[in-house]
Amino acid sequence: MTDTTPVIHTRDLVKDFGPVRALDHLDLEIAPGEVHGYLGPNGAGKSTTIRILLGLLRPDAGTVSVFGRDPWRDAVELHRRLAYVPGDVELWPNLSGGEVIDMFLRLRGSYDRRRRDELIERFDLDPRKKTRTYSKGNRQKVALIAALAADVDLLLLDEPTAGLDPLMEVVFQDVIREAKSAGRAVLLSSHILAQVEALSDRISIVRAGRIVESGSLSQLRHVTRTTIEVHTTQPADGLAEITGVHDMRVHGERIAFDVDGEHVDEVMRQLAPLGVTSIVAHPPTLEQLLMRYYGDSIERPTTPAVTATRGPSQ
Amino acid sequence: MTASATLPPAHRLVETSDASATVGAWTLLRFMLRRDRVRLSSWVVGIGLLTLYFSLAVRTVARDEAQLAQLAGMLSDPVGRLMTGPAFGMEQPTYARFFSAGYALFRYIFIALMSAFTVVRHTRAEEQSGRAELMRANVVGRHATLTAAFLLTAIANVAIGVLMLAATLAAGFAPAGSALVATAGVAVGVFFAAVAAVTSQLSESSRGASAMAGGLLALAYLIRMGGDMSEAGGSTLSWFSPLGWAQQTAPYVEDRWWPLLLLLVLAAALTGAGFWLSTTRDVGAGLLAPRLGRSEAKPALGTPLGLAARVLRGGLRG
Repeated sequence: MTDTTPVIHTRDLVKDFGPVRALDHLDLEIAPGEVHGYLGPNGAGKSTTIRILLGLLRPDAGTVSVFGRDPWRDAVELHRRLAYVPGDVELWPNLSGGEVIDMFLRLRGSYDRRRRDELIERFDLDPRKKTRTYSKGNRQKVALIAALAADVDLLLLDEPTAGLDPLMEVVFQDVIREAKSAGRAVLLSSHILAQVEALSDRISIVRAGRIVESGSLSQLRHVTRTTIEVHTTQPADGLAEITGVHDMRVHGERIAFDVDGEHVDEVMRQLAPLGVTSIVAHPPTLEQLLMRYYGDSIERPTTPAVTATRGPSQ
Repeated sequence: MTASATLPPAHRLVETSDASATVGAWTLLRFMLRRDRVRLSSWVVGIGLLTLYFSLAVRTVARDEAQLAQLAGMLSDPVGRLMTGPAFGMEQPTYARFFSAGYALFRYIFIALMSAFTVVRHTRAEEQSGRAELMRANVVGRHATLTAAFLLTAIANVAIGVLMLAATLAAGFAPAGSALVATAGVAVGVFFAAVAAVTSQLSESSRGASAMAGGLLALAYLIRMGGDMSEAGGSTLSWFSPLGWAQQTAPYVEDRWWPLLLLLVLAAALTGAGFWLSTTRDVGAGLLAPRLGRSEAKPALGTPLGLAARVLRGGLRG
């Protein structure tokens, strides 16, 4: 593996399930050693992308390569170098968690038993219990431990912590950081924005089978707004007229507004003579990033009018 | 940008035929044996004991030659043939011949069901539950699961064959015919395992795959019924049924081995077809694509009867 070969590379990837188009000319690129956050709402195509990268699904058009190879044709060879954790882990009810972990690791060949035991310890899993008795989170731990104990160059994680409690979330983030420092690339599909924010070098936002935005967190922030809350001794009504200022809220002396990245400078100059007693500026959260791209699709169901009429009818 | 594989849609038939396709099959086989240690051994021991019971019971049912001749008449008249088969050697019945003519068919049916269900359970049912996806993400070849499931079923069939042979020999039946009855059972089992290897590719649900394999078994039985009823020793129609082939071996009478070749050759062809079909589809998908459902419920779905009718519709049709 040379450093220039992308770990994952797709171009114009298309996948149809009958009449439904799951991926619509999807372009994705992940460099070696990179932790790549993959964000999108349900049904956006995140899992479909990962299944294609695993060679479980065959794309209808476009190109895809993992470590420079075709994931469908070279699945076995590629799987020696990658591990996968699905969001919804189904296991064999009459086997114990330890048995399942060992079987997965045996299917990979040699593995580090100390690493397996250490991960079981850290994720606080009882490997003797039958998987029938496991909660969703515990089943997920089984898949996580098996994937993380494997010596691989790429982790494909499809909402891997959907069932984990906050304590385990912390363990998960630690383990992913360790994997990163060991030089492993990670594709982390997630709903948990804080998690992606904490772990990712770069982020791609997928919507309706297309990448709508891709870049580092700071690059994405550049195109978004900063929220500023400020107390001034003199009225700051004039601010609303500045280009780039949106959504002005005035509560007596305290005002809050959002401002486009490239206009922050001008806003600060206007604010300075108004006698600022306190100011809080915070970068957009990923929620805001997502709202911007999915705004039109999430706004409708959360509008109070709609929920109010929906409530009593059925 | 470096080497990246192009995958136009026309590539559907390009496939790897190298050894990597079955990587992991051995580990999977051990895993399947572990999972199935209770269920499959119950089938094997059950069918073995059934054979032992049948082969010993014939001596209790018919205490002497006169009684045996009388019962043989029952098997060889058209209605008897309709139920149990071509009734070879019933003009000069022995306990072994009576056992073969009257009871072998039912064991073949049990073996066929066990084999089809086992293959479906380890292939399509695994894909349906999503566990196959997790499994296949490991270093597991495209054909490893089906290979292991097929081997598992073959092992169970051979075990049943050995028990059947032991049971018939214990009853004092002729060794040549006993070996043939046992081998016919194995051949029937392998054949229906191969049928299930194909139906598992077609349907997206394990129930659908099992139902198709079971449907073929029922069809084989019906064809054999018609064929065997019309003529003692079976007619041409009997030769269109896989169950008919197993019965045309005429154990303890003519001891013909070659009809089993039909079963095994066709089983090999079906198995090959199953492997090939599995490479033309996505993991989790069936070749018979399910249609989308209605986006809105019909008014009838709001009533208990309507809901029951809708949920049971598939089963009632089948």
